[in-house]
Amino acid sequence: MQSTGSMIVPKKLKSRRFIRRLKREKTLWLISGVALAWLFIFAYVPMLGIVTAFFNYIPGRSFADLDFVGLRYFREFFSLPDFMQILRNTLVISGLNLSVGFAAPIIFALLLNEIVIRPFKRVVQTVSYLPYFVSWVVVASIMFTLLSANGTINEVLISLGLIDSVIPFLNRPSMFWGIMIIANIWKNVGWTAIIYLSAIAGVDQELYQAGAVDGLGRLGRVWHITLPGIRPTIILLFILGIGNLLNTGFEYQLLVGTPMTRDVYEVVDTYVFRYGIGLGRYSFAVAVGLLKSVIGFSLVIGTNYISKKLSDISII
Amino acid sequence: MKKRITALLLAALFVAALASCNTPGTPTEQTPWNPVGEPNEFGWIRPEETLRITVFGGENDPVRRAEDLKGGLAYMNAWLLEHMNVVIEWEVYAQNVTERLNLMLADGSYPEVLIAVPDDMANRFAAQGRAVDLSPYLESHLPNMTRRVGDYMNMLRTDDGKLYKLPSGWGDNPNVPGHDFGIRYDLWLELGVDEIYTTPEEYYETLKAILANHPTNADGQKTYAFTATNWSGDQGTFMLRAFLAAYGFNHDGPGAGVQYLHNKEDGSFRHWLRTDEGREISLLMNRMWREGMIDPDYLSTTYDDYISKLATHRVIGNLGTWWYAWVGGHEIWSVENPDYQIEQRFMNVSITGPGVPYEETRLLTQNFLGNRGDRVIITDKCNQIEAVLAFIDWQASELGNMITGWGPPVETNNWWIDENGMWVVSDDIIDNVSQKNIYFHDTRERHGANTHNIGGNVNWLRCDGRSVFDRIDPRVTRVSIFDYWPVDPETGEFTDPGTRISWGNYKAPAFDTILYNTSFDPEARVTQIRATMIDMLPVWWANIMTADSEEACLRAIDDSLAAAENLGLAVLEQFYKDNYEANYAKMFGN
Repeated sequence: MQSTGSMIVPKKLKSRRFIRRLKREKTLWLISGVALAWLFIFAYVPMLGIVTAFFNYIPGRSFADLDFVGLRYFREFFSLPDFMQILRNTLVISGLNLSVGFAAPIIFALLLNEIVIRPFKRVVQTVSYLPYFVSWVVVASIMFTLLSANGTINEVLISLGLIDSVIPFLNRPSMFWGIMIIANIWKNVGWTAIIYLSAIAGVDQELYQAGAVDGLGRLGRVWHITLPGIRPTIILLFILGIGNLLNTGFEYQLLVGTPMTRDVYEVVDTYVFRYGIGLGRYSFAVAVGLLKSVIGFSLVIGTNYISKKLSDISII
Repeated sequence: MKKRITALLLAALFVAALASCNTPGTPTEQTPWNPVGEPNEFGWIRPEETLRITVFGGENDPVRRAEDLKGGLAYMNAWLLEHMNVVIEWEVYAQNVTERLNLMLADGSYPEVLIAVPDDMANRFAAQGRAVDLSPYLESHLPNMTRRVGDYMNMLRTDDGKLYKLPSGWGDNPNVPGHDFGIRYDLWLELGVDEIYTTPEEYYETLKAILANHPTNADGQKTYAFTATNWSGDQGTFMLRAFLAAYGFNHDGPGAGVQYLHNKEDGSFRHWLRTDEGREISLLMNRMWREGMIDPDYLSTTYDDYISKLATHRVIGNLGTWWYAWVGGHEIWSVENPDYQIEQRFMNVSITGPGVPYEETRLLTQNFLGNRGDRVIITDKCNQIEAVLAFIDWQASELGNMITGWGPPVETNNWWIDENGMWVVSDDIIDNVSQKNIYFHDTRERHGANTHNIGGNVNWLRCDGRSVFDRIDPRVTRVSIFDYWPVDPETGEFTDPGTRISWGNYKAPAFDTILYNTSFDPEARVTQIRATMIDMLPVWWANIMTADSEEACLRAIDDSLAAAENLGLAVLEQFYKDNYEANYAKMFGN
């Protein structure tokens, strides 16, 4: 028997209720069952591999034959000569993604929402999310074509007489982060804006009418009606996004980065790719991945807690 | 109850994960190799039952290989089946070899034979009992390979004398040039200079004079002395390495990762950043950069861009590998330009550092056991070791080597065997050396050249005291499975006048770097130090070469040296010293 408050519910009754519910919701369980099975097999079962972070893993040897090394790889990561530089680059790039990169789709969605000519709005929206499907390899190729010393931008600027000599956009460390964020925004703004557009579509239209009656202009309606209306969406996406604070990816850095910009593009992911997986040091790669996941998870929980306290909006 | 069941399930999963890594295979029962009969015209005793060999062939595109656009794979499959009764089943993956091999180790899914195995991975297979000790089979089943590889085989033995790995891609370097200090021959002729340059300073002056005469190409684009590719192994470092080679700096074996000077007197190994020679080279290249002689886009130039810049006369020198200038120069101009003259080509020139004899340079290097440092291993999955070794040894025989490399000797191919037993090459390839892609490579690829090379020599097929290639047509020299050069049988001179121009001023002999071979354990500290040094080299070199002034260049050298020392440079230098001494002892038994 188990007790719920003052009422004692017999176990048998609980299980009968569960079975009845299962039968009532069998279609939902059938639909989600495949996804849950996939999640279990490909996301949860592989988590057992995190034990690799605590062993000196050599492919082909069973764990019984391996040396337990404890926190060695975690200590090694923190004591890297370039650790502070790698961390700085990671936090800066993520920070830019979380600030500028996070705000851009919101602003874009708000602007798109204000377009009244529907065909034009559809064309703009379609064109805006096409870059999402372009791979980073193609993006890198576009960057080289535009920004190299003999690229389009330099040629145009020189022909207009705005500069005397070429600007090495891709070799200047001071420009790397800015160019990367612009490329990121160009690639993702349209796709991410879809979520905000659907949230905006859910705002009650009567509020806009009431706002107009109260004398609100366009900007006023955006500030006082639209933004508060999509605030839950913004907060939820921010909570999810903050979990990726240490995940900057590595495609752009490896494709567009040059030796001249290495000091600003080397991030945790590129380091692990080169010196973890590239050298066959899987334990080290797993340890850093585990560290990132723990930090990301903690950030999500923490941000969720703060959000719940301040705005009563949370994902958990 | 629920909690107990959940805990039990988790524990079971955990145990399953721990036990899931497979253990080394137990030795399989061996099928003896006793083919009956006499060797056929190709030196092989054809077995009654088809010999099937499964081979991991390294990193390759399986789709493209299966497409077999030129039909060479199918041709060779049919030929091997008909004349040898052998079928080779290849496994290739479009994946980094080390990653794939680690996956194979983890799940035990590897075939009988692995080729293109990096040395440290071969050691890993051996350490886990997954590679077969071949030392009992050397004399009986690998007589050709043993003869031709000779004492070099000692370098592959373990400390206790076992032999788990065979060389892959072995042999002497057949090339004339290696690192070159190339220049446009026609533009050099315009200068009216009698003697070719022989020192770095003379090279610089010559380049400067040509650039002054030709500041732009026909399209008005600025010309440069050099450019580079953005390939991770280059990124401008080929320029540095060429000069270091001219000054006698070694590199640490296949891949040319780290460059240092080996002092034979005190046995020390000094990284180039520590040396006066390194500074001299850096200041020269920095001067060239500041004078606008180097392409500012060198860090973002692809290989195709590089070739295009050579072909469109935007780059008039070459500090890379010699074939860039070959492919991007006269091979294109001779086809596109109806008024082409052979003087319009790149001349590959050798120079030395001041006071450095050619014998001490590392301009043209070779690694007898394979330039990539890869190995062949027979795994514990193989139940027909004798048969597999017999086939590998056939490929190491002189005739087997030639067939494996050039395709079978038939008159539709580039070569055949005449009534006197001589290996005659076609007149087409003698007469069309500047069109090798069409007359040589295309033909040999259609006949399956190099599609089934398991353990064969890929380099110079010549008489050298161990190998006997005395039947090759005397009209060609420097024959390898990839190449050949027509010569006058009487004088030994290249018959193609263009080739004589291109290589007439390249004097460096080949230097065997075998004693500098290194193998790196992934978990060892030196491995990480070395990997970081290799990754940082393009960064340091970029900072040094592109510094705004001579003082800034020297500061960049000091900063790079400080960074290298912080990484553990001294540890690496000591490792190279110890490694060299160990290799020497292994090779010569001292």
